Order: sequence, then C-alpha cells, then structure tokens
Amino acid sequence: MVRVSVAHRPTPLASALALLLCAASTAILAPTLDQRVAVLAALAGTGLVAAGGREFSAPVPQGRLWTALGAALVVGAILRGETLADPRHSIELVPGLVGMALVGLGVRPIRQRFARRFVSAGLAVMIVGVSLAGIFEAAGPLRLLGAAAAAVAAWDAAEHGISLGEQLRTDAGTRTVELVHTGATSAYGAATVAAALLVYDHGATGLPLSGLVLLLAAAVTLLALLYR
Amino acid sequence: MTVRATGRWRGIVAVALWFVAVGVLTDRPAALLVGVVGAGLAVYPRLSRPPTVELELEREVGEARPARGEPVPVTTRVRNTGDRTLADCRVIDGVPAMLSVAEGSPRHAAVLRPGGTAEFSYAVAAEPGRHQFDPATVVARDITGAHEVETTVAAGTEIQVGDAVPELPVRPDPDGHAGRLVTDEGGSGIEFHSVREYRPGDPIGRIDSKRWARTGELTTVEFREERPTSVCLLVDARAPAYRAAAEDRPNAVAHCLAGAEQLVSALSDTRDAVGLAAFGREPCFRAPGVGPDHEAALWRLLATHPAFDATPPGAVRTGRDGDGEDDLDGQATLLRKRLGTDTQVVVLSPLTDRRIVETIRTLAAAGHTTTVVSPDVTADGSLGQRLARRERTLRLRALRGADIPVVDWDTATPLGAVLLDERRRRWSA
Repeated sequence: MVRVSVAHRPTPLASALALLLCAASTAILAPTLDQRVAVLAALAGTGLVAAGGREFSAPVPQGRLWTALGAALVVGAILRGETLADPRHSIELVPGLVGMALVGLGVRPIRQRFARRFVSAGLAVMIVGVSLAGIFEAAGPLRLLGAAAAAVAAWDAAEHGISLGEQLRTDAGTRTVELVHTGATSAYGAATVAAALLVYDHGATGLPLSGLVLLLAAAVTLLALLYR
Repeated sequence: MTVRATGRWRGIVAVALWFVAVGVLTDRPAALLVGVVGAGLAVYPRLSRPPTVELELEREVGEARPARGEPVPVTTRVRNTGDRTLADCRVIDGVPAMLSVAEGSPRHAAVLRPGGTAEFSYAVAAEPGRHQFDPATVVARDITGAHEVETTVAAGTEIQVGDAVPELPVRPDPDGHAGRLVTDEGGSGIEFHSVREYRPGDPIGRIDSKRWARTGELTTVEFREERPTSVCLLVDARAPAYRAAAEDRPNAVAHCLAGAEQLVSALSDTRDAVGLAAFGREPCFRAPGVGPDHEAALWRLLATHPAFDATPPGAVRTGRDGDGEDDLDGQATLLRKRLGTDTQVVVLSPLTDRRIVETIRTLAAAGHTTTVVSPDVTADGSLGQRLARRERTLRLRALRGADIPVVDWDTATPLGAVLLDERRRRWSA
C-alpha cells in the first residue's frame, strides 16, 4: 500500500482564514437567524473535516470520529438550508454552504492533486450563489458586492495556503506571510467594493440598456486585454 | 534567477465576465456592479511588479565538529539588502543531501522589509563525513502572488562529522606492481625483508656492516618496499544512480559522495595519490595527486562540480541531457585514456543498471585494479522494489564472479565499519 505523504498539506492558518472568509461570504448573503445558525454549523463541520488527520500542537479535535461528525454537521446544515420555509432563503444559503464544503475538501485536501480544483469549484459555486441571490432576490448591492469579494478572498487564501504547503510544508514558519497576504487581498477587495458602491451611488442605475451593453463591450475588451 | 507569472488570478477574469453577463441579461444593476468588483480584482495582479530579490544569507552551525548521530542546531538568517519590501519570501535552506532534519523545518516564509531579517532554526542529525550546505533556494512572490522569482542564495557552510574510514579498499596488485603499503619485494623500507649478496651500486647505508666486520663478506640488507599507490575514486552519478530507498531518504549519489569524501580524507593522511572522477551529466576528472593543494581541489570538486549535484539530471532539463545512453561509453573511454596504467580504481556506485557493471568490467579488463563500493539503497516494499534488489544482488554476484571485489555497503552502518568488516573477512587473509 502506498502511503500518501501528509507533509505537503495546505498550511493550517491560510486554510482556516479561507474557511472563515467563505463563512463570511455566505453570512453576508444570508441574514436571518436560521441561516446564520446553519452557516455556523457548516463552518464548524468543515473545520473538523479539514483538520482531520493533521497534527496540531494546539488541542484541535481531530481523528476519524471527529471528521465523520464534521461531515455530518456539513450535510445537516445543507439539508437544513434546503428545507427552509422560504425558498428564497434556501437560494441565498445553500450554494454558499456547498462552496464552503468544497473549499474545505480542497484545503484538507482530499487528494493532493485535486486540491486546487476543489477550491476553484468552491469559488465557482459561491459565485453562482451570489448571482442567484442577485437575480431572484434582488439583494442589495452591498450584500452582493461584499459576498463576492469575500468569496474571492477566500479562494485566494486557500490557494495561497496550498502553494505554501507545496513549497514549504506545514511545519515551516509561514504565519506572517499568510496573514499579510490574506489581509492585503481582503483590504483590496474591500476597497473595490467601496469604489463600486461610490459609482453606484452617483446614479449609475439610471443608465439605459444600450448604455449597459456598451459598458459590457468595454468590460469584455478590457478583460480580454488583461487576460493575455 | 527565474521570474515567472503564476497565473493564479486568471480565473477571476471569468468571475468578472460572469457578473457583467448576469447583470445585463437579467437587468439587475446590482449584479452588474459585482462585475466591477470582479474587474477590480482581475486588475489586482497588474498593480504589482515582480519583486527584486536582493538577499544575504548567514548560517550558524551550532557545533562545527559534532559526534555521529548528534543533532546539530543550524540557525539561518536571511537579510533583505534591497530597498523594497518582500511580501512573500520563501526560503528553503540547502541542507546537505546526506543529513536528515531532526527537528524543526529548514523552510521558512517571511515578510522582509528593506534591511529586515528573518531567522529560523532547525537541527540536522550528524552523519560521518564532511557536508557542504547547498545554496538556499528562495522563492519570492509579490503581494498579489501573481509573479514569482526563484533564485538561490549561497553561504559556504559546512559540517564536519568525525570520519571513520580507517582502512581503504586498496588491494595488493596481483601482477606484482605496487600495493599500497607493503609489497613482498625487497627494497628500501622500514620492515626487514631479506639479506642478499652485495651488488655494485647498492647504497652504502644498506650494507650489513656487522657481517662484513665478522666475516669480510659484503651483503646488502633488503627492506620490504613500501610504494605509494595511486587511487582514483570514481563516482557513479548518472541519472539511474539517483535512487533512494524512500522518498525522504538520501539518494545513492549522496551516499556515494559521502563515501568519496570519507575516502578522500582518509587517503590524504597517507602518501597515496588520490584522484577523482565521475560518470554523470558532465564528466569530471582530476588526476591522482598528493599535497594540500590537490586535496583542496578535490574538496572543491566534490562540493561544486555539476556532476555531483544533489538533484537528478532529469529534474533540470538542459537540452542535451537525453538519456545518457551513449554518454557512459564515451565517458568510460575518456577515463581509460586519462588514467595511468597503474592507477587503482575504486568505483562508488549503487549498481542500479547493467551498463555500469559492464563498464566496471571493462575497466578491470583494461588492467586497472578495480574495487567497487556499492551503497545499498534498495527496499523490499513493493514487488518492483524486491525485483530491483534481486537484480542488484545478481549484479554484485556478476562482478565478484569477474574477480572484482564488491563492498556491499548497507547505508545504515558507517562506511568505515563496513570496510573494516570486509577487511577482516576477505582481503586481509
């Protein structure tokens, strides 16, 4: 039997930050108490799943039983989100929880090779969740912007943790770098949110559809140029 | 120094486009607005440039000459001598290939302000031999992580752990040429050998004066002749030799190098001429010689020659690398041309393929007294590993069948002990 080396896991701090940002993103979209309880339960569950099998110096619950409990918590939270009285509340909540679970599987990681894919899939699901909330619920711009920025920051933190784990392993001292990196991304995200809101407040809502299409064309050109 | 784009932010462009599309198609300005945030984040990596890495590395080894097996604390300090902050500076210290890390981690990541210093320590388990630290690898990313600069920072540090090679695998030559220490020929030496009739031209000091006084007969005392021999250490550093028993164990080339270092330091205590050669990505050759300068040159070769790199040749694509198929024959022919006819060859090779066995036999057939020291890096986990071990055993047998002694070196025991043991068993007889 081939034993998988566990030294190259994503670094714990960045993983934890990523999960917290996922939870923040989902919680921004889902404001009611029921939803928040489900988010907290899912966060605790994902944390347990991601911590499973690692070795910490601090007393962190780990081992198979705790991982199973964590998985049960996540599944329970998602099921609870599905069965909320108001289906719109489910739309706000469930994609975020699924995204968080995927990011959790990515930073565990369930498979070293698929770590990044899981994290990217988690981001995609959360982004879809944000747009669903925007479409069906006509959520306010602040919530949408905040949730999207937090989701991207979560993805960034998880990816950073994975790359650090690959290059330096988990036993290296990486704390400051993780904090500075995630802090910088989050601050930049917050700044773009603020800038976008400023644009919004200055009457961008009154634009006719032709104007929007023009804007879209401009954006596509800009992004295509950036993509190179 | 390599600068590369990590491309980690590429996917965010899709996020931005997605929200713009959703906003336009569903007529939701708020969703369109999220596209602005997405675009902002997509622009984010464009805001920073690749970091300029100017670093100074300093290493402090706790004990310069530790005993075997003792953990040696190593403290590494990295100082940013540039004038820009390095937001994500990852340092992987160049721990010598033979030493395993006993405590802590030789890797560290730090935020380095201009003039700032990051310090980290770990401990390595001391193995016999002289170990040179490789340059530390530094991977610096800008704050967004979009650009990555990889470079190395060197600081010549070494750890010397008491050598334990008391006896060398140097054999008395079967065809009457000089063996290392004592020959069975009479001549000038220390140990008494025989007395023979005086021949004109014998040195006056060797005339047995007592016998002449007693009997008037001129006789000459012969001593056992000691002739220094010349030994060439040949390290097999071809790609197939970079095998290890497990992923985190030193590979065979590291063991061979450690062996070569121990042999060099043991040989330099004698009058024997030592040379060094390698088969590998680049041929390496230093003719046997004596003296401190020569010794220093050997150490330098062992520490810096590309053939002795700790990473296998395949890991770095150099273009003309190929599989080295014809290279071995070419290098062996070149070596035979350069070697003096009376030079003994000590081959250090894990014997991982048939071609090296053939090469060794050719060397022996060309008249060089050849001895093989073979570190055993096989394992018996999987079927393939057991097969490899079996094949190596067969190769050992083939060599011994061709009258080439092979020292089967179980790497868990120090080379010196193995050689002593071997001597007791075989060539002291």
